[in-house]
Amino acid sequence: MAEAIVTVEGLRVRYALADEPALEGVRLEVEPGEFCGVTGPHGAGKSTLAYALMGLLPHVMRADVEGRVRVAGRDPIAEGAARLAGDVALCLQNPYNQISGARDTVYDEIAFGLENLGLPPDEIRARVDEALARFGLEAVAEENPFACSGGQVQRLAIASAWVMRPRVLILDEPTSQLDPHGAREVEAAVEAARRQGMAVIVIEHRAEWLAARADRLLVLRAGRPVAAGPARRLYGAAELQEEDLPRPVYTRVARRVAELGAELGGGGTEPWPLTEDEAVGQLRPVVSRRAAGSAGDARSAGTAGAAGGADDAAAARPGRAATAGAAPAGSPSLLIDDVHFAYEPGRPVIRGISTEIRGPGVTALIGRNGGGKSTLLRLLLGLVRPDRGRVVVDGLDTARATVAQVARRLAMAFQNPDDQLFLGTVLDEAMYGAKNIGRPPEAARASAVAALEALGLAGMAGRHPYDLGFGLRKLVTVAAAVAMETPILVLDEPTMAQDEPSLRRLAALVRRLAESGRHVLLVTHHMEFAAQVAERVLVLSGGRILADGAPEDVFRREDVLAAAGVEAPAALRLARRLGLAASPVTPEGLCSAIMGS
Amino acid sequence: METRSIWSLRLTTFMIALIPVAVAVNYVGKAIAAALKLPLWLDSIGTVLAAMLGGPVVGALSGAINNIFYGLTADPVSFWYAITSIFIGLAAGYFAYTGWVQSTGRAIALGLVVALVSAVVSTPINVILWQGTTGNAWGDALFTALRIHEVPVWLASFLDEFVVDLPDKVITVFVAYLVFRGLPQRLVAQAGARRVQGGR
Amino acid sequence: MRAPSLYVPGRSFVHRADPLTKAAWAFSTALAGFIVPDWRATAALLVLNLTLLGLAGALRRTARLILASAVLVATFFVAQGLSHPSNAEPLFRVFGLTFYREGLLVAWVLALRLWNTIAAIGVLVFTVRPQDLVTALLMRGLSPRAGYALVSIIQVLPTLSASVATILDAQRSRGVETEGGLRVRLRALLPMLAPLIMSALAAAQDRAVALEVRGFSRPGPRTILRPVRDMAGAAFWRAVGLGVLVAAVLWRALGG
Repeated sequence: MAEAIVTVEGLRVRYALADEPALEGVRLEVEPGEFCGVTGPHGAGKSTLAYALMGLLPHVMRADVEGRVRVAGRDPIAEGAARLAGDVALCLQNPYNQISGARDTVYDEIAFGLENLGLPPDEIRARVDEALARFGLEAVAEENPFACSGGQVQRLAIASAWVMRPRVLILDEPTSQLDPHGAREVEAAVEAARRQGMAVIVIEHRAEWLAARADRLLVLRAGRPVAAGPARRLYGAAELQEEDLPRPVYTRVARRVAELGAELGGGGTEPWPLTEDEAVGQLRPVVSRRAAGSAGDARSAGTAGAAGGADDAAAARPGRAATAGAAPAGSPSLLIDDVHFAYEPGRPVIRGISTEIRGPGVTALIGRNGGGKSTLLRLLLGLVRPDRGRVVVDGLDTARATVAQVARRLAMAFQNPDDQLFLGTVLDEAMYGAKNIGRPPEAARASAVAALEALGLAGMAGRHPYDLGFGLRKLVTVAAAVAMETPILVLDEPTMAQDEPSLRRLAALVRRLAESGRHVLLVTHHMEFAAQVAERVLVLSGGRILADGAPEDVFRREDVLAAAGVEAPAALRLARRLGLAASPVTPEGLCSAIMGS
Repeated sequence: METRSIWSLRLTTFMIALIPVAVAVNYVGKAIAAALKLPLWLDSIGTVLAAMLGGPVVGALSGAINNIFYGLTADPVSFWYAITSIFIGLAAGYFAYTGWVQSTGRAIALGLVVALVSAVVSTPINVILWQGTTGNAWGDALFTALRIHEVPVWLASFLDEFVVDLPDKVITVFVAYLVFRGLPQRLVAQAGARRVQGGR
Repeated sequence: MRAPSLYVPGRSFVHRADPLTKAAWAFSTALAGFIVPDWRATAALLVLNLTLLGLAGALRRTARLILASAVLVATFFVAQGLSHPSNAEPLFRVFGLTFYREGLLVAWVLALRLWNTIAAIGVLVFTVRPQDLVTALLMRGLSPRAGYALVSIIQVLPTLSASVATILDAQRSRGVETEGGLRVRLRALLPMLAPLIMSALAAAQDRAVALEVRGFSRPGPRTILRPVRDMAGAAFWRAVGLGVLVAAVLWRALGG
């Protein structure tokens, strides 16, 4: 066994002014070249661990720190971050905040750390050129960092850290603020960094990435270690809850299929599948056995399976019945009638959109960034008015209304929570919009408390939003929009930076809102979430609606998805690889389809 | 924890990172005041806030760098007034660190002090450079009326500057105080500022 | 939004001069404009600086700045023309107010000094990227921390400005009124500014971490990857600039 490059024993951290320790009893060993995942729900102390390893505690952030920490042969708690530079590197969540601001091109930004090390100019140039190539940044070398995409900037941050040749690289939720395309870019960058023999510690919620890449995992909950060890063993450990360690879709489907009595490929001797390839390997035998078993009426069975899969998925969602019939009087309605819009003449952003939402339910709006989604949302909010056509929100034409009037009918949680949070407590934030649109303070408070509770934030009502992590701040703004109790609710990327328990609470809340007569419009890159809660999917690309229909129908259309730059949900991709005739979009639907095949 | 003198010149990296933010807030505060059509400049909220957070040295640096940057990128005349900005930062930082941002009343008093300091420091600059006028129509109308009645140039110029600074700096300091009061405790502690616990 | 900038790209003689030489020239001639006892000398300096700006192709931008100072200049003429203590010879009357020759002449001198300030410093700011000026100062021993505080504004300011529009959208959508009486607009100030400042401060905390990771606080010498070289004969030209200032002071002290 190689010598560990990171050793943590009995780490305990309590921030100044805090009553409870943020971290207690943490043990960790990481070897050179290893990918160590750190995961667990919000408030688990994951970031605190990163700060401790980087030497920010107590040198930059005031805290009591106990325990033994060794990173790359250094003692971060005694030495502090400034002296660790070059041996240890940390990249935080928000890519743009990682840019030093000291230099105005990508090239010079990467060189900045090397200038601080006092290296000779020739060596700096050689190292920067190597970093540009390794992280795929040559094309933007002369661009201003702030003009780059989120994925590029996060890669730039990693490249700028990597170029210092640290032996340990720590990444705190590096993909949580990126779209799937940007996330994949960062995943590739991490692999590139790791090939050099660097130990990489990644704090992450997304099971798919950790399951596919991590050698080792540390699972934390509320500041305490829940489990630690080789990733494959932990993903297979039945006693570990999904809330603490969410499993990838592939693992969940295989497990469910086995529970339903099917014998997986490998005869049950292989560990649970962690990647799409492994899942295909283990599930294909099930599918072929089932198909062979019912060879006599394969045709009709296949058809039944397809229908069954779709029906099961639909049955899991609410609102379908309500939208199928005529909308009851007074129920939410949104009419977008031949809307055109351009910020500058001759450069249209919205090119003739017509659609209607009637009655309660959940609609997902998907499509790549730059496809017109944000502009469409601004039109719905009445922040801009259509050049042609009308937007009618619950009977109110936005062209003849003030933004405040529209706000009484349609509330929205914006993508970046930090664009709106400013009050001293979570509760004040949650009731602010409700009070502004004229609801009595007591009613506003009651709705805010209920919304916070539904999202698991009840215990944090008195905290300062900025003392919470990004994911929790995001939930606060969702709660604030929900508390406005408008007929229509728009949530822009609500799943961003969320842990497994919050994803479940969000899904349950969205469903319940639809059942109680409201319509939720979900703007998301998270296709699994969309497939799970929405009964209708709108695909927006190039300022037009490319597709509109049930998730099963829309996600099946590969041409549409490709044009809009989105991927089908993992369940559907797996079904395709398994050669199933059905088009299930949720893990449940996929299980039924496999068992029915 | 060691106590730092408020005049300490050792600046943490966070304080260094605070200075460009303070200058940017000065710029943007001015833009927002204009967007809301408020009859105020509000172009030193960042300097005052940096002073509240980091003390007089950070406040003074923010003020100086603000005017140097503004002089380089927008209005060359701004260089001459760097001295005023430095004193605004020093005054706000000194009084904030000695307990003047603990209540609304004291914050307004601090606003008056900052307005006074600003006017006192600007007056010699205005007199030496422009023989007393400030370029603000209302203030200069007052200046002219006073001068016709043979009020000394120093007093007339001081009043010219002060009538403009008074509402502007009082509101600037008050807005900075409201923001400062609403900041998360952890951030305030990191900057090294003191703030009364639970002060409302 | 892009960072504010007065820099006009170019390859002229003035552009090629190094930043510190131009800084010495700019501040010396700007100050000299105030010190010389005869307004014709200020006018001569103004013409000289305008010539340099013409060579640099920045005359139009200079004119824009001079126009922007019109209010200030107008107050010189009104205030001094009506109330300067040396006023003796009435020149004309407008709306019952008498303007005097002496005061108007004082205002004319003030205007020349203002315009010369703009033109002199313009020679520096129109032809130097602020980054290069800071690099030149770093090479002369400016602390890297001070240099960072100045130069990073160029990167930080546009990010802050860009979020203003989004914050405005988000808060209006939560029912914050931004139009109406003065009181309504004053009340909108905090919901607009506070999110901006809080997120900017949180970003500054993150950026401080990023700086530490890049060895910003490490002691020891730094490399300057893109050094700024002095122009040929820099010492001579700096001496010429300072000579103008010294001459102005001597003239004032001995003659004037």
